Amino acid sequence: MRNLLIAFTAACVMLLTVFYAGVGGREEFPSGASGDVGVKEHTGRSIPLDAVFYDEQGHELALGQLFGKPVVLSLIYYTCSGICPLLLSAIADVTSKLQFAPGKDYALITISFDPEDTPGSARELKKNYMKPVGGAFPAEAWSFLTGTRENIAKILDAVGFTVKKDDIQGFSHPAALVVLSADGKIIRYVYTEGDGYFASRSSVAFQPFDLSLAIGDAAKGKTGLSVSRALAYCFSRPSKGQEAFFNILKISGVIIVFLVLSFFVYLVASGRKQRIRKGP
Amino acid sequence: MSSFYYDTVAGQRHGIAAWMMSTDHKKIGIMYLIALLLFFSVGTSIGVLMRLSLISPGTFMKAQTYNRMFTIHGIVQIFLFIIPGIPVSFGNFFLPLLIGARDVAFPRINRFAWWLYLTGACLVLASLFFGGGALDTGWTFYTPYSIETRTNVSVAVLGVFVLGFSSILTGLNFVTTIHRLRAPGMTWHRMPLFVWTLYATGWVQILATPVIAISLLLIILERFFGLGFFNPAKGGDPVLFEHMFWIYSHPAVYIMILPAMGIISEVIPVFSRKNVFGYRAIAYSAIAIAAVGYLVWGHHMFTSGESDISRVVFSFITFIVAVPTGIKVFNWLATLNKGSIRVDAPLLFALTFIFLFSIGGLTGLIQSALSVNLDLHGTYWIVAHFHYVMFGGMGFAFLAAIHYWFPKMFGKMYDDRRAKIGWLFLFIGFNMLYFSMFILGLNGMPRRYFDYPPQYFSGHLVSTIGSWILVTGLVILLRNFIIALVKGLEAPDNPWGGRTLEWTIPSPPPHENFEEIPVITRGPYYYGE
Repeated sequence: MRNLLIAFTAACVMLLTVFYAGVGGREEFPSGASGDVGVKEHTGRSIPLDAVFYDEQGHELALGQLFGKPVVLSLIYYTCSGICPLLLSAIADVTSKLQFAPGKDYALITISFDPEDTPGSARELKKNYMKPVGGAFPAEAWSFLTGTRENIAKILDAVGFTVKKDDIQGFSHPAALVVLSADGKIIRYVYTEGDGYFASRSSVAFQPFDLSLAIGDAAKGKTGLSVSRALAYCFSRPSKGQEAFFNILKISGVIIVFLVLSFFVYLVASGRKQRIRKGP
Repeated sequence: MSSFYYDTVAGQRHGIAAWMMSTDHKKIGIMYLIALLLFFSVGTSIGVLMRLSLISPGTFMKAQTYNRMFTIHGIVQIFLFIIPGIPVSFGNFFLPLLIGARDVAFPRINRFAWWLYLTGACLVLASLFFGGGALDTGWTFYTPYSIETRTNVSVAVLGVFVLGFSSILTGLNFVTTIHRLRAPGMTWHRMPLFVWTLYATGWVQILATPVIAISLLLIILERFFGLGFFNPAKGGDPVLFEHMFWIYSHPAVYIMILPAMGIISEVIPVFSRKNVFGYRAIAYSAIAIAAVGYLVWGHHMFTSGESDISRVVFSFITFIVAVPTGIKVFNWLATLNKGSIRVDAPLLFALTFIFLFSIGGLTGLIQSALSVNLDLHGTYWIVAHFHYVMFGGMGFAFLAAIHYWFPKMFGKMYDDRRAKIGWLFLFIGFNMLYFSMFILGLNGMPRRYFDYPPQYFSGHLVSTIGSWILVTGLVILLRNFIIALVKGLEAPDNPWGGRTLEWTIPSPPPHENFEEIPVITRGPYYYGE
């Protein structure tokens, strides 16, 4: 019995060491593999601030001109009728709950990844979303940019977004915010955490908690892990092949239930084992 | 004097092989118990380190290390400790004793399940070192992150897959044993209640575990071959994984808690010297929990994107599942009523189970209300609820069981006073640790976070101090057992005055359990009423 105790203690210590060594050993940032559509996090890298875009008036400007303070970047396309309007509403909604002053402590930038979008549509959109953010929100604190194919690709690559043009219309794309430091370093990705009611206004929503942490870190230039990686996608078409897969699931489910039921029937039918009672 | 089950028999294997190659349900039970305690120690230590990090984020560990820590903490505690938990240890040791059998129905399958358990555990362990290292997905392996992360999901998931098979085989074995090997005269309604809960658990293991096996297999296929079951870009759906995961993992909650309720139903009548109140109600409510428990998995996904109708239905069924649980609690209390109660350590832990599990259960009702859930779902509230149910429930029942059956399993008595001191530390530490999490959650502290704004500090501090007190309690209890093993007094056959069959044979039990298979003529808790 004493040997058993020593062995147990030794095994306990050994296992603990093994687990800690395994858990504590590595320190790289995790990142996703590049799927067809998605986000591959590039935390800690910088985006090209010399990339040139057009503002709502059609004036050329280098991205760097809008920096100098932390930036919350969103990437959408302006003719999108899926998740993009919800995403913009969510941004407008969360800014009112932040303790930071827009334009001073941070700026919002929205870039269209559709090269066919024009400053005209950007102007329309801005007019729409300046209303919900409220009167105190300075107009220059939220820029809606459009750009050329090359410059868009530069930015998408830099932040690790993959979007795909659909055959029929529109794009499939991820919906997330990228928080950048004043000098263009990627601080953190912020994903949506809506209530999931598709009909409600906040089916896409950002937690003020998340965005505050991220902007706070951005002001200090400190990179962090994105915490809640529930990624929302926007698809302009229903996905194919789901039916077949669900049918496979249904069939295997029925087989399992059938097997279990027949086992039960067998057990009940066969009853107790007849035993020979052994004497001492 | 007859030889005990752990004595070597002439002509058989010696040393480690005598244990590893044994098909004796008692030896297998003891080995499981040791392994469980080992993994519980590891999981708990990791938990304490996480709490330490939370009072000063960034000082003791980095964010990514924290992510790995909470994942490993979850995987070890859930898949290596709580789910196998009571059935494989106390179930193995006592099921045949309680129904008057010499062993389980398939002793070799039982040994094979034990080997599978070890294999699964080794795979989980190996996942820490190969490929991308320890997981950072959380114990639920949610897609799409589990598909994309570079950490070693595949090996860990394979380990859990193998553990699943061990679980299925154990369930199959127990169900067959209960049907086929009951002693003459032991009708269904003369079975001890722990046996009823093992029976219900067995069916849940058989029916639910294949589903998680399939979903984990799909993760592996998706990682290696890019099949895209859960990838919307390829026609799949990440929420599908959540459904498949919880179709198993919610019933798995009942795999954990049903045997725990069985233990409580054994302990309470013995220490109140009274036949259990509402035997049939307790027995059938175990079956009811197992059955209804299949239909509530959707309440884990109220915020993941479900249709409004399914959310309302899932919320409603979740309220229903609380009814049989309430039935049990009231029957236990009614058993205590007018009993001649002796508060020894086993009863103390059993009563604490009722108290803590009730808090866990009632807060469960709060969060199963749809509108409240939307606010609480992502917060520490859920962490608190979960630990009240799992640790306050299954954990304390496990401690009740080990204090109740220790004399029978090892033939030694432990010090009752030391056990009670350990309990006191454990109880105070537990409530500090987890109750403060309810408050943190209500104040909006999100779960899984490494860092937080300063207003949450005091809550985290109380919680962390609680974790130290809790561990002190656990160490006192463990030390008490070690002292008992080394120099405890010899245990009598029936130290508590129990009426079930295991107390009619020597402590520890001999090789073949019963010299003569007993004939049962009355119910299991007969105290001469």
